[in-house]
Amino acid sequence: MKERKQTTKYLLPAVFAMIQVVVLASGILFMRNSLMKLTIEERSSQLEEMVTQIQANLDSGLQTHWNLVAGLNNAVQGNHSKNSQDVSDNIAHMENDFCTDLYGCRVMLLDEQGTAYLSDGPAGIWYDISHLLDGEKRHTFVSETDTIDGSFLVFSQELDSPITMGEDHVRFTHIVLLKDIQTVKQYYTTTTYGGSAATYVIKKNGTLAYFDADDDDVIGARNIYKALEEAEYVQGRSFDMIKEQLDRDGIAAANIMLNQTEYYYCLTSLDNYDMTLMLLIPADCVAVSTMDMMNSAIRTGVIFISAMALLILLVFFSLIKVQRSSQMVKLEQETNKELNQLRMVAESANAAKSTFLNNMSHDIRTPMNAIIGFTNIALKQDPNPEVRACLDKISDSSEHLLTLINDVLDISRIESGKIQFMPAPVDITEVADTVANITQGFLSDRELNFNFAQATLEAPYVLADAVRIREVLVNILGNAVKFTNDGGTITFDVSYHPGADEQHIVACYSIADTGVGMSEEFIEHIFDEFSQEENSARTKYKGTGLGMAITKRYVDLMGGTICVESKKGIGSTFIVELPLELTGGEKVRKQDVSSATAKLNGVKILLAEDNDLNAEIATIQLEECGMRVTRAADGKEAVEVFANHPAATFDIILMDVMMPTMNGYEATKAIRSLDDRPDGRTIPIIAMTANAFAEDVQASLDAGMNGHLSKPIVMDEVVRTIAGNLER
Amino acid sequence: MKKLLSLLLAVVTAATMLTGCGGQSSNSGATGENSTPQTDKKEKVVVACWGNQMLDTYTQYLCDLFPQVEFEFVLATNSTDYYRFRADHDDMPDILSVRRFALKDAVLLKDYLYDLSNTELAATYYGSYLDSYTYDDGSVNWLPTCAEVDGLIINKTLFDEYNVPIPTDYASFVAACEAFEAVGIRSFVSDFAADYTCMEVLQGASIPMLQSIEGRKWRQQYESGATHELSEEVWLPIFENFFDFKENVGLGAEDAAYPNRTPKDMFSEGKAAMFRGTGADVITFPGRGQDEVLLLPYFGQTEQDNWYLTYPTFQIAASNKGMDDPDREKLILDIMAAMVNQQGQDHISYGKNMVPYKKDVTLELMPEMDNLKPYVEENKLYIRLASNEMFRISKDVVQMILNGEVQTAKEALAAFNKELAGEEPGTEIVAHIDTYYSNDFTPEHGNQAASAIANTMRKLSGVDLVFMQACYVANDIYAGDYSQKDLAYIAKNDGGWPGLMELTGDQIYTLVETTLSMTGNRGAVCNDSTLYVSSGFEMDMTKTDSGYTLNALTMEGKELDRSATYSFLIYGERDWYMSTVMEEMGVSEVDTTGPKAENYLMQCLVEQGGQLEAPTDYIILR
Repeated sequence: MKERKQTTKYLLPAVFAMIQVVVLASGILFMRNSLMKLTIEERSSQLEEMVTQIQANLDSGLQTHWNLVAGLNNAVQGNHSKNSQDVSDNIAHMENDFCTDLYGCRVMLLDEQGTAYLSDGPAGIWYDISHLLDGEKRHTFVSETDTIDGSFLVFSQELDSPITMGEDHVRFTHIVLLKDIQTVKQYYTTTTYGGSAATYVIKKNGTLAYFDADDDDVIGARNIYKALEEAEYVQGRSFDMIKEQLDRDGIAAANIMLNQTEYYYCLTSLDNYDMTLMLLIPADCVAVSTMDMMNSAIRTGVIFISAMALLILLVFFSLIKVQRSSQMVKLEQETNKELNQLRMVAESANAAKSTFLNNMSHDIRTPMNAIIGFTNIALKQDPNPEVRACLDKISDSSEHLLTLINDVLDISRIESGKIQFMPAPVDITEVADTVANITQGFLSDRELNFNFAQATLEAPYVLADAVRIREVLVNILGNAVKFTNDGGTITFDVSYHPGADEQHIVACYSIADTGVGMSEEFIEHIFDEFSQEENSARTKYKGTGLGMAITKRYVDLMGGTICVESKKGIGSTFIVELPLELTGGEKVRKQDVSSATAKLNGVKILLAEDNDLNAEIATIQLEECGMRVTRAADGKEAVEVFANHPAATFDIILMDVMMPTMNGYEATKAIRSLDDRPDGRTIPIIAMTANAFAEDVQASLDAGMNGHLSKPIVMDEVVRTIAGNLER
Repeated sequence: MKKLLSLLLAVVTAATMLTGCGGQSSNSGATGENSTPQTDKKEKVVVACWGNQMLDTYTQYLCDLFPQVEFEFVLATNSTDYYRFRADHDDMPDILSVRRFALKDAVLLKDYLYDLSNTELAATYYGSYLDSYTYDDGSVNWLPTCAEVDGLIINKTLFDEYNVPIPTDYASFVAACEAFEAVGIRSFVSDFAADYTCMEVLQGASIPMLQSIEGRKWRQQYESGATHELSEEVWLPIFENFFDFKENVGLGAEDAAYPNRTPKDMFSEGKAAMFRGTGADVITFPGRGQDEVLLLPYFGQTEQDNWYLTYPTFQIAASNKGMDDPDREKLILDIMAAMVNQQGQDHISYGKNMVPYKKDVTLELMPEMDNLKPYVEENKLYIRLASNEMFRISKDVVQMILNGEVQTAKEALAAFNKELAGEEPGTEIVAHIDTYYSNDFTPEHGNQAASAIANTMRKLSGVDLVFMQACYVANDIYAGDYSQKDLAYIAKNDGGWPGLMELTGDQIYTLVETTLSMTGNRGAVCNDSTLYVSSGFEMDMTKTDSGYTLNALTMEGKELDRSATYSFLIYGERDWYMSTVMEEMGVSEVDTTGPKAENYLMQCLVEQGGQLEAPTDYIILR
């Protein structure tokens, strides 16, 4: 009887402990599943973004060829050839005139019977004539026939009016541009997945038109849609669902098992071309960092919960002891408390980890703004040499720290596909001038020869993301300065060449130095992340090892190329080539800083800034330009100050975004919607925030603001922005 | 404490297992073991042959290659609609073949057929050819064998004898016609009683028009179902060309009645200089024996407008029945691969007279077809428009033109479009069959369906005995209602001819023994399904490793009287088989003008409203 009582006494806590273990295990499973689901969504989302970008590249590339076909159509109008030799000669001339820069293009004329005429003579009836019979004037498809050796992307245009040949008046009805499919690769290739991505061009009926990859075709099917339909879907999805999404949204992604390996695929419709583009990537290569982070989080969670389980067992053990002694009750309470604290710490750490990347931008940039700003202000106070030396070192270190932060954030964002390019009309020669000026700044404490030469360009206005181009060039030139010993020479040559058509040019930047150079082994890895050559000569140069990786990604995403030649002890030469679309000069808005500064004298500014240091820096710098500043400590106060002052009290509002009580977006919306203040709808409101990404700029504009300034603030940019908005 | 350690171990184990999360999911069942039990019984595969050319060496080739398979070969009607008939009776053969083909007709069978699009077999084809067999959803049911080439076969020796220049374009073709007519030789003849000749000459005489952008656009619309009439823009000039062709060649009502053999006999006797034919015909009909013959294209206004007409010798497909069994699926695909690989195509084309569609097949053109080479290189090979209704209506309208029933191109076009808009004839119910008979061969009863038809033919023709290759009956005889069209499908094909003759008992022994020992002939026996059925007498034979040997022939159990004479009907292939056995028997008189098997079916079931004769046990196979 006593033994039974003893058993009952232990049973309850034992059952309780077991339930706890089961609940914890379930919790782990739940957490794991949730995280996996999130991971898949995140990976799919990244893939979709990447494919969208490829689609845009492809669209743009294909459009270029259509422009060329339009040119050919015009060129042949009114032609009458005597015989087929004459036709071939004309085609050869057109290829010379139009196709010089488009490597891989051939021109073909089709007569009414479907006979193909090329620069080397008639080639028989074209097998793919059947593609041109649906009544449309233009057709694009992949052609692989016996008529002409090779695989081509076809751009076929029905001639506006047929041209004739010979006395029998053979009529030519179509002009066709044949683009070697290999040369289309540049429009869809991505290095993001380390060359593991396979590209499939799929016809409207789901069959394969073209496949391209470094490795074998893992699908190995003609009917791609059928193969996808029969594949095993990892997350309970099906091809029907994916197809429905593709038809609805024009893009869809999913993960499947093929040959016992998990793959992600993403389909996107090329609506104008009756084709679908598919990217197929091994799951191991998609969003590697995100996966590592997720797996790390899962492992941390498992370890934590295992520790919890262990502690529960200890508690169980303690409970047994407590049965014997009332003193043990106290111990139990302490253990529980300890457990709670542990849990809270772990949860907090986990949350902090998750939000780290998001907050990094704002939380680190904000104090950096203060450090850099005050250092600059102090430097203007004519300090004694010792103090100046200290301030200079603070300034240098701050800028280096900012570079590190930016590099880490940039590479993370490039990998996630969130980098957005914002091409705008710009004088491209000014970009090179600016880069040269920045480089001159690097040289102030060095004894280096810097040669800068830029070709003249009659029409210098192009659509380009000047900031990214500047970043690429400054990165390379910065390295040149770093790795060239005093007495050496850096040469920065800029030339411009004709592009794919009359609307495009190619900017060619050559940066050569006589620096320490690189080994052949290192050159192969120079564009890899965190790559720094391991040798005594370079250890003195500080850096993240991300600069060249970022540079390469930017160049790739701009559709350009970068190559490097280097010899150890001799020096290095980088050549960057970027295709650029020409635009009219009238689109480029320029604002001279000095004239703008002059116009700002007496301008009344309402500054909404919660951080006292940042507010102080901004106030000093704005007042140095002659402006009058009224500060509000948060968004709510900004709205009140504006509302409580009559119209025209303020000319412009500078609005921080992340503020307590009411953030900048809410405050803007509140000012814009003040009932009795029509000027609230028109007063320029400029975001001035450490949230510096493209989507942050868009969010500011969406909230009703007129512009966006990033912290740490650059006064030239502030002056231009304020002046520009006051002129509206 | 031990319990505590065990529990701890369990937790750690669980945690360790859970840390493995994030890995890839397994592909369960993807590589399942083959659990099919091994049995000695052969796997049965039914192959429907489009024509008796396949019975020559092709079926034997398949039997030799797949000894583990019990093939059942049946001679089908050369039409995709025949397979619709079999699908209606849930009796689709495992492998289908057909020469007369249009995707527009074949799409109706899509639900019954296996999708070949992602098979290794499909991957061996040139993409541009495969595209023309691909449906809107990317699936592929049919694959072609090599291309048969069709044009004008000319007797070059005859041209040389009469100093007539070989034509190079339409004008010189007309000049040649006039030159031969002047010396009393028919310039051009063809079997316009055959629907395919009417269709091919009508299209062949105007290929440049059909291949123009407008012509191609119309064809695409017609084949996709977007239009169901001939466009005036494209087809009026085609009929005008045909009227012109008719006048220049001197075609008339007499030509409209020419059956298949007449023009070929005229050509072989030197009475005609040209006829419409194929690469296979070049081999079969070499003029007067030693003459040099050439296959020339259909002529256009200039040499640039000359084209050959082509079509796949036949297409193959697989029923989707049973294809969910991976072993069965693999077997069927292996057989199909063998049907279209290099060896298979050598058996179809005699290795010389056709053009391959596959990347892994090379067919050498024979010297008579040298003219073809530049046309192949320039892709000047027109693929005939060959829907079922095109065959039927082309024959009707061309015969109207030849008979003078329509006088102008406009009238011909209107007549064609009227038929296109009308109902297909022969679809109303005209007969009922009460009893079902299987056409599976059993050693005890033979082929009961074939026996029923042979007995019916014996009764209706009034002959003493009938001897017929059993595979000429294409399927089971299903009990139920029949339309005229479906009734014909039981035994309708181009290859079967009735040969009426007088034979002694000895000659019948020779006939059966010759038939059983025959190889490389379109009447050869390669397995049980291709054995012959007898009516009025029984056959006792033994199956050996190398084939079949005859033990005895009997009539109602008593040995056949070798000295008696019998009226005898052979039903089978005419030009190769019948001529071979007649030579062996020493028989020279034969009447092949009697009704064909499908005509006997009509006579019995429709005209007389009767039923088929009951089958008999006509064979003892030891």
